[in-house]
Amino acid sequence: MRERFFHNRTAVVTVLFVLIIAMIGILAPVLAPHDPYETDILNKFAEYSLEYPLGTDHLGRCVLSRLIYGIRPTLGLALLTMLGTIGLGALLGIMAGYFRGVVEEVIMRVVDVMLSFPSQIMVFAVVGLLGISVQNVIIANVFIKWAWYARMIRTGVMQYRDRNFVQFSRCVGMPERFILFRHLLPSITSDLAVLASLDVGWAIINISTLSFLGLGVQAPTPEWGAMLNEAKEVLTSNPIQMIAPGVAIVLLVCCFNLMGDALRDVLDPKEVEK
Amino acid sequence: MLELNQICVSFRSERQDKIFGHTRQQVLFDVSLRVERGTCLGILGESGSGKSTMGRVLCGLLKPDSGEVQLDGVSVYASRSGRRNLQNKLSVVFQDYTTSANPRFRVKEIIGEGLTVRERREGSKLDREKEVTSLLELVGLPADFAKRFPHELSGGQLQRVCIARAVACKPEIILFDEAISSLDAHTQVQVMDLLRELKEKLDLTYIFITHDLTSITYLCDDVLFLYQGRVTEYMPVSRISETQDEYARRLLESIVVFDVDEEVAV
Repeated sequence: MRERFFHNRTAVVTVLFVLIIAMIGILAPVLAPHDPYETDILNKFAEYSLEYPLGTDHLGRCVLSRLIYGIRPTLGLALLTMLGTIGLGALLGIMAGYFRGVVEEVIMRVVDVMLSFPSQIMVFAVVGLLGISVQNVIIANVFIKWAWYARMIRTGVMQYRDRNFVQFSRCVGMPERFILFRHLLPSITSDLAVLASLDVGWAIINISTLSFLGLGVQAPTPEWGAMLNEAKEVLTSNPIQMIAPGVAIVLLVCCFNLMGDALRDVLDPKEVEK
Repeated sequence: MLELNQICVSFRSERQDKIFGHTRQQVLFDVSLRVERGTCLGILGESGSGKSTMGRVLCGLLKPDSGEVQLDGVSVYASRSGRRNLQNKLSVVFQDYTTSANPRFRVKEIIGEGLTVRERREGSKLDREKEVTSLLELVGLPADFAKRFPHELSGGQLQRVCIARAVACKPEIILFDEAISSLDAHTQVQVMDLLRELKEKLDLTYIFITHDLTSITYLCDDVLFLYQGRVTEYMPVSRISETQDEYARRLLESIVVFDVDEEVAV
C-alpha cells in the first residue's frame, strides 16, 4: 500500500500540502511575522508590503499572521468534526448494514428523521439553542451530518455482508468483532477515505460559514471564515481584504476533495501498479 | 454423524397479495438425510431446487421452519452450544471463488483466518508461518504464494487456497457448495483428485452440493437428488443406474454422453 501511495502523484501532493499547512499552523508562533491580535489603527488597510506581506485589516492587524494563526481553529475544528461524524456514522452504519432486523430498522428510521431536516437550518438551530461557542459548532455539525454517513456506509456494508468470505467467517464461528473490523471495515475504507476527506472540506466551509455569520468562532480569534466576515464589512471600499482568507479556504477545501479521490485509488488493492 | 430430520424451509414472498399479507414460499419439503463419518454425500439438483438453501441449513446459517439438524446427536439449532458444536466441526468451500476471499487479505491472512478458528478452539498458539506453508503444500501450491493477493491468483489456485482455509480449521466435515462448478474441466479434475487425497489423509467427511453428476460419480459414496425442494432419490452412487425416479433418470440420460467422454479421457 505504501508503494501505491508513493506512486500516486495526486495523493502525495495533496497529503503533503495538508501536512505543510498543518505544520505551519502548529508552528504559528515561530512563523507568523506579527502578533495576530496587535492592532495598529493608524496603519489599517495597508497595501501588500515586505513588512505586511498580505497587508493589514480594518484594525491594522497583520493579515498573514492572522491567516497563519487561523489554521489552528479552521483545520483543527474541521478534523475534529470529521472524526466525530465519520466515527459515529461508520459505527451506526456498519451496525445497521451488518445486523439487519430490529437494529437496522431503529437506526435507519432515526437517520430518516435526521435527513428530513434541512441541514444548514438545523445547524443554526442547534447552535442557537446551545449557545454560541466552538464546541457547540462541532456538536451541531456532527449531530446533523452523521446520518448522511451512516446511510452511505450502510449501503457499502450491505454489498459485502453476503459475500462468501463473510459467510465463511460466520459459518466457522469467527466472532462478530472480527467480521466487523477485519472484513467489513477494511472493505469500505476506500469509501470512508473519500467520505472523510470530502467531509473535512465540508466542515471547513461550514465552520467558516458559521463564523462568517457570527455564530462560530468569535472575534478576535483569527479564523478564516471570521476573517471573511470582517472583510465583508468593507467589501465596497477594500475588496482586496477578501482575497487572502477566501483563496485560503478554496485551496484547502479543493485539496481535501482531491485527496479523497486519490486515497480511494491508493486504498483499492486492485488498482494495478504501473 | 450429521443428520437432517424432516427439514422444511420457507421464505417470505417478496410480492404479497395483500398489503399486510404473510404468504410464504416453501423451498424445502421434509428433507431428511444422514451422513456417516468418512463418507461423501453428493446433493444433486438443478438451479432453484433448494440445493444452496440446504447448504445454508447445513452450515448453520439458516434456521429451518421445522425439523431438526443433529450433529453427533446434538441438535444444532436448539441452543447456542449446538451451533458452536457445528462451527467447531464443519467448514465450507463456496462456489464463487471471486468473493470467497477478502480481496484485501493476502493468502497467508486468508488461511490465517482458518488457523485463528483452530487457535480459539484449542486455546493454543500455532506457528502460523509454518502452518500456512504446510497447508499450501497440502493443496499443491508453492509456499511463496503466501504473500499474494487473491486477484493475483487464477481461479483454480484461489479455489485451492479456499480449500486450504477450510482445512486449516481442522474440521471433521467440509461442505462444498458448488465448489468446483465454476472451474474449467481440466482444473475440476485436478481439484477433485486433491479433494480425494485430502479426504483420505485427514479423515474427512464431505458433503458435496452440485448440479454436475459427473463430479458426484467421481467423488461421492451416496447421492441425493433434490427436485423442487423434495428428495426424489437417495441411494449409493454404485446403484445410481438402477434409479426409478423420473427426474434422476432424465438427468442421467442427459449426462451419459459426457460420462463416456470422461472415461475415454481418463
